[in-house]
Formats: sequence, C-alpha cells, structure tokens
Amino acid sequence: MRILVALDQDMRSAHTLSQVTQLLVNTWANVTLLGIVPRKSDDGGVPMDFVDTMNQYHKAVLQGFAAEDLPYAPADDDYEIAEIRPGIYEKIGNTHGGIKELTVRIRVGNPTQTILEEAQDCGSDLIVLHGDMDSQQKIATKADCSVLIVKKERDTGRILCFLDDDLLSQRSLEMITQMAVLFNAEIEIAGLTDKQSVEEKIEKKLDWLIHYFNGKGIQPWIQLVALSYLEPFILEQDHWSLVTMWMGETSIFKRLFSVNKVAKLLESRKSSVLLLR
Amino acid sequence: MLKTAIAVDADLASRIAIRCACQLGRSIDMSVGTIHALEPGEEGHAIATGWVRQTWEDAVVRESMDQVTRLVKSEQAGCRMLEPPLFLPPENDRGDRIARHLRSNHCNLFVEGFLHRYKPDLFMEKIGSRFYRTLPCPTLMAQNVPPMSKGVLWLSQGKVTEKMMETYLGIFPNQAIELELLICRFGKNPSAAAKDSSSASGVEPAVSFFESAGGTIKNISTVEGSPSSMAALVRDHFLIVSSVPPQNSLMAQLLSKSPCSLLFLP
Amino acid sequence: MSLEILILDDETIVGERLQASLEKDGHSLEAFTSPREAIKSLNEKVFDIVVTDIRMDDIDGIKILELVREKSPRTKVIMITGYATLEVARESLTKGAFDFIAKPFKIKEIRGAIEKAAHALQMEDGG
Repeated sequence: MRILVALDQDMRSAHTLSQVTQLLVNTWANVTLLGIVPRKSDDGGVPMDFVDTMNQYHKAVLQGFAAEDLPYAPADDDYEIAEIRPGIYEKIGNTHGGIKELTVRIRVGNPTQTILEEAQDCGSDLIVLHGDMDSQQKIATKADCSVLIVKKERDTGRILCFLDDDLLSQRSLEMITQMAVLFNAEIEIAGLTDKQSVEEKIEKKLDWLIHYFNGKGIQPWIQLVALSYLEPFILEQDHWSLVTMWMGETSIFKRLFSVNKVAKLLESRKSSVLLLR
Repeated sequence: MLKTAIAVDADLASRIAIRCACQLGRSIDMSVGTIHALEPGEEGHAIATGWVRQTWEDAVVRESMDQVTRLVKSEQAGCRMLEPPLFLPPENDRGDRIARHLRSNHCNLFVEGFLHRYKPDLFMEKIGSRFYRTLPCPTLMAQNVPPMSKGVLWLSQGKVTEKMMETYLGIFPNQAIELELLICRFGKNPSAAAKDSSSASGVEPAVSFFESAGGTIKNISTVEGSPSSMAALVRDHFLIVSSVPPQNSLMAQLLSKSPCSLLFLP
Repeated sequence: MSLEILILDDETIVGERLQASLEKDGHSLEAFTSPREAIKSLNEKVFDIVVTDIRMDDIDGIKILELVREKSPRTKVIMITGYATLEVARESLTKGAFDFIAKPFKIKEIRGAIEKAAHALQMEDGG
C-alpha cells in the first residue's frame, strides 16, 4: 500500500498524522508526507518554519514505531530540502534506506492541484487529509484513488459503508478490511435503494458482500436505506468511527458529492469519511 | 428438541433467516425445517386465460420451487441440519397458511428473514399483520447474523409474564446466551441513559420465576427517553426479545430502529 | 534475470493480475489459490521468489514462509496481507520474510519488491 498524507500547518494535520501513523504501524505502507504551501517565501524558497513543521511531522511518524519495528530509515537532524523539480521540494537525507519508503515533500501551489499531481506521481492507493482542508471536496471527487478525510478521534468501533448500484473494486474492499482492522471495528453496510429494480440489484450485491466479508472472518451488519431518506439517515448517524462510500463513475455519491449535497452533510458530522475507488 | 420452521423465498432475507437459525442450531438442540408458501402468479400478471393461463402458472410455480430448492441446497453446505423445503399450496393468505402449518406441526419456533430498513413502514406493516397479532409460536424476525456472544436484550415496558419467561427458557434452556433486561419508560427526554434497576417493580415475579427455573439475567436496567434516544441501546446484540407491540406504538418505533434479529414471544 | 516465482493467494484475482505482468518481464510464474497445491509444488521445486498471502482458510502464509525458509533459505518470500497488524508484520520479518506488503497494492509495488528480491539474490549469488 502507498499512502499520501497531505499536511499543512493547521493543528488538525498533527491529529491526522497520529491516525495515519497507526495505519502505518499496521501496514508498513510506503508513505509520502506532502506539505503544501500556497507560495514561495521572499527568498524564492520554501518558508523555513514550514520546513521545520514538516521535519516535526516526519519525526512524529517515526516516533510512533518501536525502534526494532521501524520499517523506514531513521531520521537525523542533518538534512536539507532540495528543489527536485520546479516547485517541488524533497527532504534529502535519511529518508530512504529502510525496508519501506518514507518521502517528505513540499509542493508550492494550489492544494487541490498539488495533492492530485503528487498522488499521480507516487501512485498512491490512499490520500489522507484532514476534514478542514478547503480542497477536500474537489480532491474527493477528482482523485483516482481512495481518499480518507480524517475528523476528530473517535473510538466507536463501527464502520458504515454506503452501498449503491456502482461497481465495487477489489482494492476498495481491501481498503475497508484494512480500516476494520485498524479501528478494530465492525462493518455495517447500508444499501441505498430508490426503486424495486435497484433494490433487487442491491440485495444481490449485499449477498455477495456478506459472502466476501464472511470469507475474511467478518460478519457485516446490513440494512436498506431509501435514497429519499439519505439526509435524515446521515444526520442521525453519529456513532461511526468511519463512514465509507464508493465513488465510481456511476455512483450516487459521485453525483451528490459534485453538487455539494453529501459533502455538506458529512462536513457537519464527526465521523471520518473514506471515499473508495 | 426445539422444532423450528424457516420461511424461505428466493431472496437474501431468507438466506439471513437460514443462517440465523443454523447459528442457533449449533448450540441448541433443534430441528431446522424450511417452508415456502407458494403464490400463483407471484412473478407477474397472467398473460392469458384458461389452459394457457394454467400452464403459465404451473411454470411460474415450478420456477419458484426450483429457486427455493436451490437456495436451501446452497445453504445446506454450511448447515447440515437444514431440511429440504416443504411447499405450502397456494390458497388464501400466506400468513394464515404458515400459521396453520406451524400449529399443525407443533413448531416451537418460526424464523423469517426481514432486511432491516431505515424507513419503518414495512416493519410496521409486518407487525400489524394478522400473523404477528396472533402469533402461533415464538417468531424470530432475522435481520442480521451477529455472533451469539453479543447476547440477548429483552425489551419490556415493565411487564414480563411468567408465560413469556417460560417460552424463552423453552428456546434457550441452557443459558447458552447471556440475557439482559431493559425496561423502557417512553417520554420526551432527548437523551437516554440506562440506569441499573435490579429491583424494578413489575418484573420481579417473572424474574424470580426465571431464576428458579435455572435462568440467569446478567443485568436489569431502566431507561427513560424517546425511541430515537434509545436507538443506540438496541444496536449491538445477537437478539432482541419482546412481545409484539401495537403497530406504530413507541415500542414498535424503538424495535424498528434495531438492526438485530427480533424474537417475538406470544 | 529470469526468475522462478510462486504466487499464492486464495483470491484468484491476485494471481491473475500478477501473472500477466510478471511473465511480460520474462519471469516464469506459478499461481495458486490453494495452499495445499502450492505446498505440493514447493516440495517438488525450488523457487527464487515466493509471494504469499498471510491469511488463508486452510493454512496460513506464515506456515508457508516457515516451510520455504526450511527447504530453501535462498528463496526470498514476500508476504502480502489484507489484515495488516504490527504483530503480523513483526512475525513475518522475524521469521525471515524479505518484504511485507499490505493490500491494496498496485502491481508496480509487487514488481518493485520482486526487483529488490532479484537484486538481493544476485548479490548473494556473487553478482
């Protein structure tokens, strides 16, 4: 697994990083810590305070591991930030050389564009960002990979998966399974229906998903939610560690997200959100 | 031995019903029969009259029987005790035919699948049906199949009869599952928290009877609030036990919010 | 360098995805979904690289790792898992796995791990 973590100087980035570190401790994923600054400093480089912040983030990730379990190269204070391509800076020093890669990069520019470009560049399976990033909605709809929007830390042990008529990818199911392990959570699947023909399709998919998760030793809870009741349903659902939804080309959520409806609703909830592809 | 009948159609809810019954069957001495109430023309409208119509209806019925038989066979792989389906002939109301079958075969437990829905209309319709209003035997509405270790939650509004306790012990005689009793006092309180009330009035005689018959209740508590505020309390159990509440009553609203399987006692 | 590779995952899709890609790189690949059949093949033949899922119904991937390490210490074992935990990663590495990859992954990631393993084999074989 390769994870891209988008970070800024907001306090929530530190919290996001602590959740991601748990995921890294479990998965030993290759990871890029991406800092985003809107513009260069007056001397034409990256603001030094931001470089310091990124260095702190790097150290915080490494401190999440016991020394004997560390899959990444250990950090030392002897490092430099080099411009590897125009507007893209990378921490050079002890960031490579472990079993797994941990890359620290800073990109200058528009957050949405820089995050999406970096995700393409590094071939990430998952983009992680905090719930107050302005760009979250655009990234959620435009990214090619799954996107995790981290909210406040919650320990409710339940993951809600909205299921619609869209295609399910193998990698999305694998991502849900990893999240269930990470949160030590039960999986609940809410099948979205609006008419009888859709309900029959959703039932078949639910049946298949139950079979899939049973094969992984997971017994998911299932339920049906009429699409016209989606809004009150989301408003009532505050007892989740994580809400997940598939965002394929024909998914209901892709359509609703782009018109801002679901995004606005989810923004107000406390649960983290995982958009699957 | 507990004699169980599961209503099976060719759908996901029926698979859930079978899995739920088979899960019970792994820790309780029981037989697991399956029944399907045939409905002529259930696949659509008749396309003709007379001989053609009869032939068409026969084909529909055969197709339906085949689908149900295939479903039961596929589930038998994970549940050897599952018996092949028995088909109830297509006449009068489905619920009446099933009730008659349950009574004449002296079944102790009926199981049927129901996909849990956020919108409670179908649930209300079901519990308002003649079958549920005059339950011929304990009826398990299977909605999900969580592990039995999640225990049973008995919901009551303060009245639990010895007869209900006796019926419950007839199904779970060996304390195979942990039991909690929650007494619901419905009001407008927007936030509900369960309070320990081991000496709750109204339930002591039944509880004493239950305990003298060898049953153990892990916890008795009381909760005050609206059905919505209590929803979180009915989420995470293997089973919820209750009598059949009046359609659209506050207890019915609370039960409609539970994704757990519901065991209704007559 | 053409390598003999064995892939074991109880989901057919993993072997299918990897087969086409790795054969294109000139490697010879045997893909299994049944651990028992994979073990039969491991008993008959020495592979350069074994890629195995950790959690399977019959026999878990850690057992496969132990078997391979016992029969052919030279073989590099890459562990893949859909249920990643620190304990599993730690156990894999302690028992001599070459790499540990959590699902979901892109083919590129497995190919990268195989390239690293091939390089390590080359170094061990004397360049």
